[in-house]
Amino acid sequence: MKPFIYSVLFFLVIPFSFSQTKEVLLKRSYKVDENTVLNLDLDNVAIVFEESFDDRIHFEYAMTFIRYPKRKKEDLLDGVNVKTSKKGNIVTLDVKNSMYVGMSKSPLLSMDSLKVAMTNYMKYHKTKSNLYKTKDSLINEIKYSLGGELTSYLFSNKGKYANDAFIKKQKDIDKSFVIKVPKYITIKIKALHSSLTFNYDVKKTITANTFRGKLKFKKLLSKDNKFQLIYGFFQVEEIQGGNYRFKGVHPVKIGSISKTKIDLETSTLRIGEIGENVEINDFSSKLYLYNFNEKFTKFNFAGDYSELNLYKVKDTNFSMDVSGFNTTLNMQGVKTSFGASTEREFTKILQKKRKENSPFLGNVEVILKNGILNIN
Amino acid sequence: MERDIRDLFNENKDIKIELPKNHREEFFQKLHDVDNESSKNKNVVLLKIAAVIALVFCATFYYFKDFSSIRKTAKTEIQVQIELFENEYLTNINKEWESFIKVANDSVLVKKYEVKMKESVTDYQKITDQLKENPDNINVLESLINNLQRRLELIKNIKEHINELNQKNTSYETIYL
Repeated sequence: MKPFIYSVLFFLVIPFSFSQTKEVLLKRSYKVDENTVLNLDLDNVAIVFEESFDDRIHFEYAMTFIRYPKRKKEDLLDGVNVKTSKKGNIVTLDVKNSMYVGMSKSPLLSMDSLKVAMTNYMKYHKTKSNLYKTKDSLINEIKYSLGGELTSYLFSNKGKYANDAFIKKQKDIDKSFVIKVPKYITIKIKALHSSLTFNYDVKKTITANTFRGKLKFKKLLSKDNKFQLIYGFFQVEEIQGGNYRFKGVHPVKIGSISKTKIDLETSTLRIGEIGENVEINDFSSKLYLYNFNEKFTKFNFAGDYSELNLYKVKDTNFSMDVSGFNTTLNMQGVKTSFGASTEREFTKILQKKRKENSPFLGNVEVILKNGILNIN
Repeated sequence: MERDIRDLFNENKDIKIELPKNHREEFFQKLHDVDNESSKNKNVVLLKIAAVIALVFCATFYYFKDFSSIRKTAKTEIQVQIELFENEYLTNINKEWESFIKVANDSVLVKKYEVKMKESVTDYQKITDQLKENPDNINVLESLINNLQRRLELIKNIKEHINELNQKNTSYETIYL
């Protein structure tokens, strides 16, 4: 009888003894040239882009399941749909994963810990969000960020909130999707709830339409770039041209920017340094413009219900004209309002003239309707 | 009392009775009837077994149906916590929205924000539907929290913005730096 009992126990134990298992979901490469376009249609996936040096695009997608029951793993893999193809000069990657597959690793906090962490994050965020930043410190923030501001906070303070007993019980998936692309490839992106991290400077044009996308770049160098983001976040060390539209994106962090037009809506924008010919139009966003480049020439901003934060205005040699209506100016602890909301007539709010005895950087022109201007 | 037993044979007249002509047919008919009776009994037994199986099957079906419905209605600890978390956020969002409506005097702005809130609520409904199907999926949970967090921040920010605009210390002169 005993061997029978043991065999029953053995079969009962098997489903509960989980280990790490790795599943390779895609491994393919295509020969490409300078005319090749990489088309990406993505749902619920996190992809890291690396530079390829052998004139080929390489796709490699794998998942490692940690403490995952076999059936759950199979259910999850059913939600993974990935295929690649090449037709003429177009290489296409289609990823249609279910939302349950998810895009990235979570910090694995219990609900109680998460609640405490989020409350503390809100406090932390409120106290730190208005402080001045140099271009380099913002670039470092971007370089070492682990996701959005909340996610970054949760990961960097994991020790404070994580409960080892809770983590040890949680099943997890380590997802790794790497695409190696030669620098000369044009990329077109259509992405839903996806995370895209580029670990090389992108010289060729990128066109991107994303919804709840998490995008991170080093340098975006093409003047023909076109980005349209709804929700999610966007971080880039440097932009040298193109058109960018952000709606509900928190945060948009840009280390330095030049020759670019931005359309913003209900987002948070932080720019380390503004360079040559930058134009921003906004509705109801918070903007933090920390520094101006020594040759920025001109910068134009027009906003409705915007909060514009400018730093080191007195110490920097640029000229500035601010006009608008129903706008509050906060400067040196003094709050002044300009133009009643009912009148809707533009008045000149502030003027700063260039200094004659030091190099002139350029002119800042600001038009604010129902805005707040904080001069720090 | 001595007797010749051969006389006994002569006395027993029954032995001499001849069998009826259709005796054979009658015999087979009776045999057939007996067979039919036993097969009827067998059918009854089979019916009884089938009834028992059906009963067991029905009982099992209803048991598991009830059990699974209990499982569906009974909430896990994490679901209860999420519900509390969700309710807390939704209450705060509603409060913030009410105070925003009170302070905002620009109908175009209110309409724009109504559209934004509706978009966010549509997204939220999609997420909660997915959460019902898969209550302990961390990715869906993350999306739900993000949606609530963003909505609350959106309303809070614009309300604070309006409040700041409404603090009047009006100047009609240009400031020169």
